[in-house]
Amino acid sequence: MISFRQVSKSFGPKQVLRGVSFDVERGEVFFIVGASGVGKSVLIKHLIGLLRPDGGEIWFGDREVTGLSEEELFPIRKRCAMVFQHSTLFDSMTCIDNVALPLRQHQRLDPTTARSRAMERLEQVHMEAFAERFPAELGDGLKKRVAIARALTLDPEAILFDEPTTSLDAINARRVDKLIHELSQRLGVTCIVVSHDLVSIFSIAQRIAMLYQGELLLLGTPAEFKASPNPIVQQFIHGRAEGPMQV
Amino acid sequence: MAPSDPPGSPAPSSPRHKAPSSAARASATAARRSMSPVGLPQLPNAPVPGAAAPRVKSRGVSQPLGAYRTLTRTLYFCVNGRPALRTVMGYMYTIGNQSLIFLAVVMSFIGMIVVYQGGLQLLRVIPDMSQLGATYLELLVKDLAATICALMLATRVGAGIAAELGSMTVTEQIDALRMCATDPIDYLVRPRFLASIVMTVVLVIVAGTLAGLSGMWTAEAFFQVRPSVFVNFDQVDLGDVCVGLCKCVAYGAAIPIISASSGLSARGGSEGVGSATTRAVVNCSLAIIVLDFVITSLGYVVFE
Amino acid sequence: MILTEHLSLAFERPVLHDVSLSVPSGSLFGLFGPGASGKSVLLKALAGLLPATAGSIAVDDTIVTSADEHQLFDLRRRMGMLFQNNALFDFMSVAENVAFPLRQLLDVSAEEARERVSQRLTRVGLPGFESRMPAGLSGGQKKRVGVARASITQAKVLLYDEPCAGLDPVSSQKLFELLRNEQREHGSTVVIVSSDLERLLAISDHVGMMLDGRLIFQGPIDNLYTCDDPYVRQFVRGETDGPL
Repeated sequence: MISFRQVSKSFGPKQVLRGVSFDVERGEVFFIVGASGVGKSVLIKHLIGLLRPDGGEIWFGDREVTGLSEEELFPIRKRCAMVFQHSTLFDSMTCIDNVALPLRQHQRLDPTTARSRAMERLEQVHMEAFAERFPAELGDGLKKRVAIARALTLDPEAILFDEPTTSLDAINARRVDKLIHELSQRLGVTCIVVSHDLVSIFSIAQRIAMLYQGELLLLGTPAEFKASPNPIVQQFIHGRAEGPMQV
Repeated sequence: MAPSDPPGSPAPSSPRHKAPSSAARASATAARRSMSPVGLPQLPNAPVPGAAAPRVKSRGVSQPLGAYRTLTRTLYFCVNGRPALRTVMGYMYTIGNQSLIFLAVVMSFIGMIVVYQGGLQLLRVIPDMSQLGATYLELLVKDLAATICALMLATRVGAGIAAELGSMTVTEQIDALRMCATDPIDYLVRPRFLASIVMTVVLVIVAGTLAGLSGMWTAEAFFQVRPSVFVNFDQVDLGDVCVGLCKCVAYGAAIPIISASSGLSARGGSEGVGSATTRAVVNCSLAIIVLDFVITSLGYVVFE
Repeated sequence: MILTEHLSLAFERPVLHDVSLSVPSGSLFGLFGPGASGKSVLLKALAGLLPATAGSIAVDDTIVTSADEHQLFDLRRRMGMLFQNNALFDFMSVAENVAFPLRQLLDVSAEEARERVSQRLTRVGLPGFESRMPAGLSGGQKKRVGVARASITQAKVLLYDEPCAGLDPVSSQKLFELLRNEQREHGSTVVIVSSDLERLLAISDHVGMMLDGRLIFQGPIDNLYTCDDPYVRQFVRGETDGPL
């Protein structure tokens, strides 16, 4: 349902992506992994038009994304939500208002309906007890859940997660993993996760794409990753300091 | 001082407690909303803090300073700090650059409005326009130029300083400065303070001159007062110039001090920066009006 | 040596309760715990950046809680700190950021500072980043600039708040090993807060766990695995079911 074809991108003299191609199936939990600063976040920002590639094509369903104008991108962004690394909730609103915001903005629902729909979303991420709290009162793990609920409000077909477990402690990180897994199983949402949390990668990923020096180094299932003879892949998945990998 | 717990055991002096009860959370929330510094709301099961150790009064540990402390510390560093001429020049350039056109436009219009309205009133009483210029220039030098300019600078320079220092505070950059044994007052506030005083004087003189010229043009266009009659400094004596300059310096000092102290006391996230900025502009404006009154009164006592 | 005695700290609500931490000289202390349990606040209190409500803090021979400004500045000359949000000065380039403590604390000449900064950046894996601005860096790169700035003066006491958040496993491993090796080399006292428990425990001599503003465990690393506190056990094993 989502495909990247020969996508390349440079920032000034630095070429970040050199012809990356892969497809993501509907309802799949797809991980994009790689060293810090390798261009993982850059790659997914292309999908919702936050960045434009220098070359190549990106298809979302039957639409080609790269040539679309800002207005034409709005429907794409409704179909494909993004959960940012720092949750980016609005401090001045309660959790439920944060979640209801896209509904009121895009579907022009009246406040009561919007709030009851938002409540359903909060229930999906098991956060209904915190609906009237302000984000500042919550820990990072709970904020992440509210951010996921907000991403769910417009019934997206796909959600992009930018490092969802970074800066969470182990227990909260596993809970977020479980939630992502549930989303894809129960709601059939396609989840594209940028991450280098090895535990999440090997517990919930169905397929993994590893970027290295701007190219796709390996694409495969977790089992294929573990079995890969490539020394760079092995160094990465074991988190070893010594090895051929240039970071 | 010795470790109070034998290493390796779960600290026995810390009875387990669950998350604070909802009542305690609600009261904490209420306290946060009202923004009042409150004492320690006691948690259930919490040992009484301070029972084992006396409540300490920390002397050096940094807390947000009020405007008065900010001023005294800034003055202290102006005397004792390292020379920072280049930084000061940099800020002078920024302040001048961002405010000159704005002030010029505002003051030109103020000049036209004041002379036009004043002239209309004068026509009703004694249709003699020969003193219009002299009165207007006295008003301009003593009060109008400095005060209106300062009110404009409060929105421009004051808001800028408060927003910048506020966002540095909430992103821990101020703490990082302290960790480098650098006092934020010395490093950030002092150069802005010096630059603001100098530039306020300069900008007021430039913008005040423009206000005089626009007033002169208005007088000629609407009341047929020739420029040679209008430009009449008979009413302006040394005292008026002193009062005007005093105001420039006082406003130029007050704006960065008040803005910096609200910026440095910003808390929370972007909302905190926003409210610090608003507070800075409101407090600067108030301070300018109060200083205007005080300096005018003092000038009356000294020079009349 | 870092010692706190019955330290309590409150803003609008209490954050730390009766924390009696002891970090032996020349050891690497790993501090962990769930989010919002007061780890970052404790670290900032140790540096005298936050006022204690009750109790006392001693770092080496300075009583932080009663020190005046000059004593604190003196102490901070011997201290380095990485903040949770990195706290890079966004109006300075990477090189100026890293050189800042050198210039401010040690009065190092511009020439020598440039030399040391470039060495330092190479060691944290960011060679050639000198003229970049912090705004243009990725999260992991900012972290490493923060680490470089915190450690450039080779301070005797180092406090790192989440040095590896946002880094991939290979870079984290390299950075943790770097911190460990430098700690050994200089015999400094280091406190690291991290949520990467596995790697943190691998390099720590002593560890402590915070929960809801209390220090519920502290001691040599070996005692952690034999600790029968259910909270500590659940957290260390990363189980989703348990009292937490």
